[in-house]
Amino acid sequence: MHDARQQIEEQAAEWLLRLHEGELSEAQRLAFECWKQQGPHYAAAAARMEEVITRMQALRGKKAPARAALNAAFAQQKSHRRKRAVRALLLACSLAIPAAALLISPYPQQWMADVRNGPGQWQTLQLADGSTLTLNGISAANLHFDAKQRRIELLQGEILVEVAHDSTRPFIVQTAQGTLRALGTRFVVKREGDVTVLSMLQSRVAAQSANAQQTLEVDAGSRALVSTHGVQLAGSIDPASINEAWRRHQLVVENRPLPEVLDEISRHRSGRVQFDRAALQSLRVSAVIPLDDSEHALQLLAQTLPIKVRSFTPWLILVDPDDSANK
Amino acid sequence: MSVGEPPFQREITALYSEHHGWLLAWLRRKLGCRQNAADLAQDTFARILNARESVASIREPRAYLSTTARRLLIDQARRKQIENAYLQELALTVDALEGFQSPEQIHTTLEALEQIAFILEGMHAYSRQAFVLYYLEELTQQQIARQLKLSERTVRKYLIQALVHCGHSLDT
Repeated sequence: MHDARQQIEEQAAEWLLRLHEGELSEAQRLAFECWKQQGPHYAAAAARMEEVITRMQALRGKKAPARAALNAAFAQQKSHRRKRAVRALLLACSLAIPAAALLISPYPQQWMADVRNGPGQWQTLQLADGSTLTLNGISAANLHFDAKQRRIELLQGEILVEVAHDSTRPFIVQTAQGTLRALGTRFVVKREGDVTVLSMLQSRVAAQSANAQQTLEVDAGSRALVSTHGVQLAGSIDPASINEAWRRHQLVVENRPLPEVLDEISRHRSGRVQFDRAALQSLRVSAVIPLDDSEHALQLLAQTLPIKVRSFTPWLILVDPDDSANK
Repeated sequence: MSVGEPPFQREITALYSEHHGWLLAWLRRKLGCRQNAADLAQDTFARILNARESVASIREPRAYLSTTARRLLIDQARRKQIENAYLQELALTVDALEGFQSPEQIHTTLEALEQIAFILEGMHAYSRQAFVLYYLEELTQQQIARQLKLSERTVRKYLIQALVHCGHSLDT
């Protein structure tokens, strides 16, 4: 009896697989229907398998997270048996990996950067020429220092640069959008999507767009936006408060849309801050926000704005408009 | 157990005598291991006994038993692993997804994933991998063969085994 049932199940699986492989002609489809009619077990076996396939297919919209979740569900069991083998393999590979990684890296270039900084961190580096470089939040840069040049390639995030004087080697900060040539100086450079934002704190910088069509000298107290095809001034800043904000790990914002502020907070968190950009765009923020404690930062925003902040595990925080509107 | 016992124990006794055999047979088919199935069936009744909720009013005792067994097999620690992995990956890929995932949608998906993990439990590792790659990731059998370093014929065989296993898991 059990063998007979096993046989029916295997036949059902065979039919469903063929169906999925797209091989069934009209005649075969009819044959499958006839097969199902042979008894209650037949159709039921096929229906159960189809049910599981449907449930799997329903997750296709979230392939990567679903796969990660299923891998995690079964990772534990493997680890006992495989731990030792994996350890041996790691040892064998540890010499080979760095060389191979330099040839073709599957990772974003930030992962291979000379200097990297993580969420909630501030890192100040004394460079060989006496200049200092401070990185905040998720940031990454490559350093190109030799006898002829001092060049920092900003890949991601935000840096504060304090340039030491050296008349023989120009000091340059480079991004995908352009180059900033320091004329003895202190300034902040930030990558924001397609734009590089330059905030001048002291002295001057010559900013040039990547297509070399436009160059602009930017003075202390000014902000400039550099894109691949142009440089434009974008209002004034208060150098003293920006200096202070860097020193105290704060974000100073004046009348900026909430989504921009949330983006900035995200850069200082390892998890995701998720929100509907359009729904929050009309809310504007003027505040001094602590960046080294993003939980607190979000709480402060929730206290002053009509929003709800809900946290689902350390990796996911949702920010929604608060429709009850009693604030 | 005798007649003098409290009603709750009598209810449990009734549940046990009517459905333990069925639960054991189902788990044995699903897990493919007599010993694990016997342990899990025992734990399932122990859990219900400890919860001390009335079981007399349960309308579908078999669904209740199978859900309890599922909760034991995919325990809290593993549910947490599933949830963490899902949310972490979701956070990384959310920009590529259409629209916004509400907490309700996330909850529904996690529930579905937990059920699928239970269905896949007890499946041969290659069958499980092939099954996920084929029906979730939409790879072809040829691509799966390359990835798992197996012949296409073997991949097909594992897929058949996987489907049979799925059938058993839902055969309550």
